[in-house]
Amino acid sequence: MDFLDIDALCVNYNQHNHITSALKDVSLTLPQGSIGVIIGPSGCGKSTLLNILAGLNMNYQGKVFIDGKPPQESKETALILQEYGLLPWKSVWDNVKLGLQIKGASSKETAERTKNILNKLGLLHLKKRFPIQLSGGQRQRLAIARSLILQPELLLMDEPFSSLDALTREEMQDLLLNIWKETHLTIVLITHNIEEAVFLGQKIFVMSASPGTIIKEIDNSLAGDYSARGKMEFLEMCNSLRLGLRGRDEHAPKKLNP
Amino acid sequence: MHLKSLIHNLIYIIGAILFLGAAWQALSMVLDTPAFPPPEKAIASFFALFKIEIIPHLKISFYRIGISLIIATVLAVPFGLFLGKNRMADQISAPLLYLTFPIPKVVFLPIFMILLGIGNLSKIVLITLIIFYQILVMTRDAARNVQQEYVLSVKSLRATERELYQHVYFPACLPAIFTSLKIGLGGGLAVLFLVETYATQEGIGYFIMNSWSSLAYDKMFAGIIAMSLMGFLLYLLFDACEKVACSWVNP
Repeated sequence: MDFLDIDALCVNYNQHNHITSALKDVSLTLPQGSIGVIIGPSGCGKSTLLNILAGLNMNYQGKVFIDGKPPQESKETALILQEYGLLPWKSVWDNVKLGLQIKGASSKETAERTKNILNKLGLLHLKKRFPIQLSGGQRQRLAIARSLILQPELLLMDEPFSSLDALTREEMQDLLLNIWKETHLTIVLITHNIEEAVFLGQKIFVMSASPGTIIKEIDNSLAGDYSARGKMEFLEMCNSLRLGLRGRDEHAPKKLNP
Repeated sequence: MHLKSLIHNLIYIIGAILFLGAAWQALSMVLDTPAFPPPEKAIASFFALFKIEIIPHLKISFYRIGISLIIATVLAVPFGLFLGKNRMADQISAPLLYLTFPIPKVVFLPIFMILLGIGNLSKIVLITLIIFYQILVMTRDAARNVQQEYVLSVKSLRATERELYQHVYFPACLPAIFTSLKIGLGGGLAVLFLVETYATQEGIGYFIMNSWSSLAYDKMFAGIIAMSLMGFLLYLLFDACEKVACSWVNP
């Protein structure tokens, strides 16, 4: 059994007495220590899928296992939301230590680990600032620091770099890759961005909207290669992925980033 | 930079005080009646009476409004957070709040006096009730509007219900709680004055009414100044607490 194992997952919403299917028959597996990227148009249920993996949504049918356990029992999962979910009323330091605080770690251990992770992500000198006083890239680093301090086995990211400018985005992709190479944690990342999917995803899952399901699964050997950006194969891979997304989804092709 | 803005603020405050004093002076000259003495007369009698007469009354009034503020906050904040967080409880209680909120609670003064006696208890209960509603409604509305993104991100850290209140709902609603305290203070002071004009011989409200009935107008104005200063000081206190506790709003 793979580290992440989803089989025949279905999610239905009851909206105004009308049953809508958010996810239909989603099956995927991901081995431990790899990066899986989910790409698809808006409204295809990507975030619903991530919430289920994070143990926040338990209203589903089908099988979902993380390391052999259902998501709500798996405590080694960290989630980074699109807007990062940083608490505006907590300083950088307090935001990062929150996870350990909730876990009930001793204050000495908490302080030590908080300091280490902030140092590693180059945020230590900003520890007294509030999130509102940080740049987009710094906020993203903070969100990553807050997740990594718990030493998770599975990191879930919902369009983490979508609000960053192009250069910061690439910088953060490199940073994520560095972290992954160091820790070899399993990462599931949702994106709208085709280049990002090809750059990071060893496995790329293409989703379609209504019903939200996986229409294509790609093994991507180019993932994780810093020099791949701009190479011919990289561009070809992006193009074929783009065509795959367009061909299957006639409703929302324009919403995808070029 | 910091000092400069401080000095600027000080200049504005002094300007405002001078403006109010001048308006008062002008009004008393225009009205030309002993019932509206000029500011220097009122201020002089305020300082003359402060130690022996005003302070004892002010103490009682401070006690009444202070206790009411504390009880109302302690009760209304947790209740408001709970209602704002739990949709079911909110839906059940909403009509009740909706119907009782607009009732001017002062009309219950006679009932409270009959039930709770004419001592401090009935006064404190009435003032508490007024402030309680104010804080409850504003805290609930703020808790309702807490962004789900914050809730989800802390939930995903496997936070308990108590930790959600501690790390998300309470701090998120704190600015609204301070606003409601400031607004509640206005209503609370108005009712304080009213309850102190009935069946008591203590409190700054009594002092004002008593001076009035004995035609001691400068004394009456000294009482008005004392009551205004009390409200002003409490307001300053809330403002200072808010600046410390909610420094993240304007860092």
